[in-house]
Amino acid sequence: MQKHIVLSLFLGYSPLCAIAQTTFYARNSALAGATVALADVRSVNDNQAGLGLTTKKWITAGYITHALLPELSTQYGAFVIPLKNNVFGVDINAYGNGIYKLQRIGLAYGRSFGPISFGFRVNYHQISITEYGSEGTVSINMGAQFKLTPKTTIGSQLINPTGAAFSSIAESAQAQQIRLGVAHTFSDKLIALVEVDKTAGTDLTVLGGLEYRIIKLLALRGGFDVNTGSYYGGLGFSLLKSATIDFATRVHPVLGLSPQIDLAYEF
Amino acid sequence: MHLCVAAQTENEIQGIENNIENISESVDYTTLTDQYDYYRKNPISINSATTEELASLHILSPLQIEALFEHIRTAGKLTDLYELQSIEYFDVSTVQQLLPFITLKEDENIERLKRISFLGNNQFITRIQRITEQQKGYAPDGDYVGDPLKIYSRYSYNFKNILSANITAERDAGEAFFTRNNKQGFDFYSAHLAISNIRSIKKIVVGDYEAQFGQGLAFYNGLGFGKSSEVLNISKNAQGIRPFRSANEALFLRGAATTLQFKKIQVTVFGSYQKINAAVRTVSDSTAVDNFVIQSTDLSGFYRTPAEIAKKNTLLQQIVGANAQYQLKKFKVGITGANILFPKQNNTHVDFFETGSPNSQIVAAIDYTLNMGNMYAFGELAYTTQAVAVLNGIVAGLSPKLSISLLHRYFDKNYNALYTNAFAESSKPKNENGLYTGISISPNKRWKWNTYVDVFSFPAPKYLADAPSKGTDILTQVNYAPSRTVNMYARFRNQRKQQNSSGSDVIDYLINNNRDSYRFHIEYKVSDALSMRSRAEVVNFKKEFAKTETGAMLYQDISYKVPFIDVTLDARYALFDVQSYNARIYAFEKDVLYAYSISLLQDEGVRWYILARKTITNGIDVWIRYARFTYADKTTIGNGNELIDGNTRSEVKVQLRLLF
Repeated sequence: MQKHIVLSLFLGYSPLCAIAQTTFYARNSALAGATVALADVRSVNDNQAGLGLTTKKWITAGYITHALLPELSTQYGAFVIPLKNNVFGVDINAYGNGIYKLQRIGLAYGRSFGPISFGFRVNYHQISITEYGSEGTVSINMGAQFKLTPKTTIGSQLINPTGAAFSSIAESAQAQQIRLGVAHTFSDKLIALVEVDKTAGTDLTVLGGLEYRIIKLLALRGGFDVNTGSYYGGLGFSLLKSATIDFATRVHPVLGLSPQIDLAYEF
Repeated sequence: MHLCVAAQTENEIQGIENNIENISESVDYTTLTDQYDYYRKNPISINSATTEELASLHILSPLQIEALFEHIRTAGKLTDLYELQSIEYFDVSTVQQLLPFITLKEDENIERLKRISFLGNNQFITRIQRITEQQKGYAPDGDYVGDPLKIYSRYSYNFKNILSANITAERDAGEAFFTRNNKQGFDFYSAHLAISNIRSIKKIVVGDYEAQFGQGLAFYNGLGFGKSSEVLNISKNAQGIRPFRSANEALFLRGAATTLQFKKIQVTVFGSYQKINAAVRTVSDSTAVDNFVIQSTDLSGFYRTPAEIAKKNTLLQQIVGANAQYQLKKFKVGITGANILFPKQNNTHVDFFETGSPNSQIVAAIDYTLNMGNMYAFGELAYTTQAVAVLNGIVAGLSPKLSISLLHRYFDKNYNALYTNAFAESSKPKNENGLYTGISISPNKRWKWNTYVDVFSFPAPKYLADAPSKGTDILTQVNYAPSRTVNMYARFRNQRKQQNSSGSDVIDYLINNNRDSYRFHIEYKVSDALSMRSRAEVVNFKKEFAKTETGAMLYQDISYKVPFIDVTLDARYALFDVQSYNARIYAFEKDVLYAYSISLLQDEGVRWYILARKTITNGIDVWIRYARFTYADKTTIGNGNELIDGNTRSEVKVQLRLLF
């Protein structure tokens, strides 16, 4: 814990914030997380409203090393099951090492009603700190997406609007946040994203992301977060039609690289 | 013909302003205004233009140039200039900027046909200007050796594009004129004779010239642009050797140069020998002999006081260099090498190269460009003073509506080439590491949304930062051109940098500075004779732990072509309220032909000017300009020798041009 506190003070960087911001999957991370208006299976961990149009089952697992420090890593996994028009998903992740651990499991639901989609997720968070014990709490996320034109979607999401917190350490289970963004498809190859986020206790930020499918098998991605001055970048490979492997990293001006990889399979 | 002059100059102003806004006010833009004037008189024939010609306008991105060629290849020659709007990557405001400098005519243009005599074109310009208020340096007991009249004269001769000659003479306000150190008359003279395009001789220049190669890391003098709201124009358009025509008293070469073309290979060699201006310090070493140590070159070009005059022509400089380029279809590669030597004179030491040999410098570089239709890549790797600098960039059209640019640079902290002009946050490519990304989105031809993000760090201490520091620069601008006569944009720019706290603490630590600027700009043509421009700009500068410093400015411009009497009037009225130098606002102003003005607005007051141009008869033009600052709460303006006792600062300028 001490190490984390020292790191937090030194870097102005809360481990809880870290996990709140970086549990996006590698594709979404590479787009700077400007993904609130994107609709695909990865919405299970992003804006659940985007799950509504999913028709296939999907499973993924991945790993992030924050600031290249193995002690600050996150493992994550998820699966998504569409049942007719109702799409359900489960998303889990675990952050930290033996002394300090944060875990979360979320049950997600999304449904589409023509151009409008809605979704929500119920999360159970658990924190455990050696010699301090552990504690759990429940939070919710909810979101909506609206297809403005066939090529343009706007999305918004509220994260932890009730302010669920761990009473013993007096910190939010997940930072309270409002997201509002737009996704525009320029062509089969090119998607551009812009998003405005406000997180409790930090300045408003603007995020931008760009995905370019240079060939069918390979997508190049990049993004930028105005508030922290961080670039994001990544590659996505599509293999055997149904499998994907995605790499991403953040390049923070102080913290440096936070590389990430995940594998996913659709069936 | 005359009716469109006003509108054309409007577009030209925007072109210049777009390019120069991120460079400091100390640069001489005469080269650019000169070039624009040349192309206005000799417009580029758009259907047979070369990449070089189009790039030299600094208006089009490599993607646009390539798209234009592609359009001509597939759809045939343009039959109407407005057809440009339909070409991929082109938009209305770009076309508006381009129009004054292009033509559909294949042959010699109108103006030239009208005026070109068998003997070629002669132009003579003379300009005088002065500050009308008394400045301290000019008082009977003042330091300036001359009177406050600035005089500029220039004669140039062109025979088609084969032969050109030029003589420029300038005397800055306060400099001696036919007296004291300037018994020969003007303080500054420049001249050249150039021959171009004769068989394999692409160019020969004798006299004063500029040399520019690659991306500006190794050898580049003259004007070049960096970051601007045109986020795709990030590569340098080095033009090899070019005759020097401006009155910028530093950063040109004096000697001879030639460029030869052998099929796909182009070779340039150049040599220069001149005395340059440098600050000299006298030190005594252990042998008790006085040594003169040259600390820095002096670029201001002002020699008005005995101290300034002492810097003049203090240092002998000898340069030899060469460049070779090989063009293979879409790929071009070049190598550049130069040796800059300061021969030892008596007991003078040169110590402004921090590493390597103290009085000479060898620079070497390799550069490339690769043009693949919707992708353009460029870069340069340079070496000198035992250090490297490298820069690589890409501009790519990912879809017809969205293009991106990327530029990475790494400049070693010891890289210290003398003549550079590279894409960098600092003024020199040194001690910097950065990644720039730009994105340009045009949902249709009337709207354009440009954004860039530049993240950089300075690994070693630098001026005003005693520790490694970093920063970001973000600009976003939306342009809207609802018709051919209306153009507007809104811009936001955020710059964050670290600087010394400069407080009373024992240890000077770094703090974060944040500068936000907002601008709205609109220009429109009311009629063929009347056009207007308006701008509102607000700047907020916040130093960490300090209060926000703000600046605001509003201006209204009017351009009117008075019917029947051949007089064009331009005027501006600007109000400004700027709390500090940190929140300063720059505004580009119209000026007499070939001159340029950028006013720095600080404190509270009014700035206005009026400019009139009258064509007396074909070939004789006169300009008169009067400009004034009036400050609200000041009893004196400026400091030192420039001090004015009063709250106004006015300048009057008169120019005469003869074409024969």
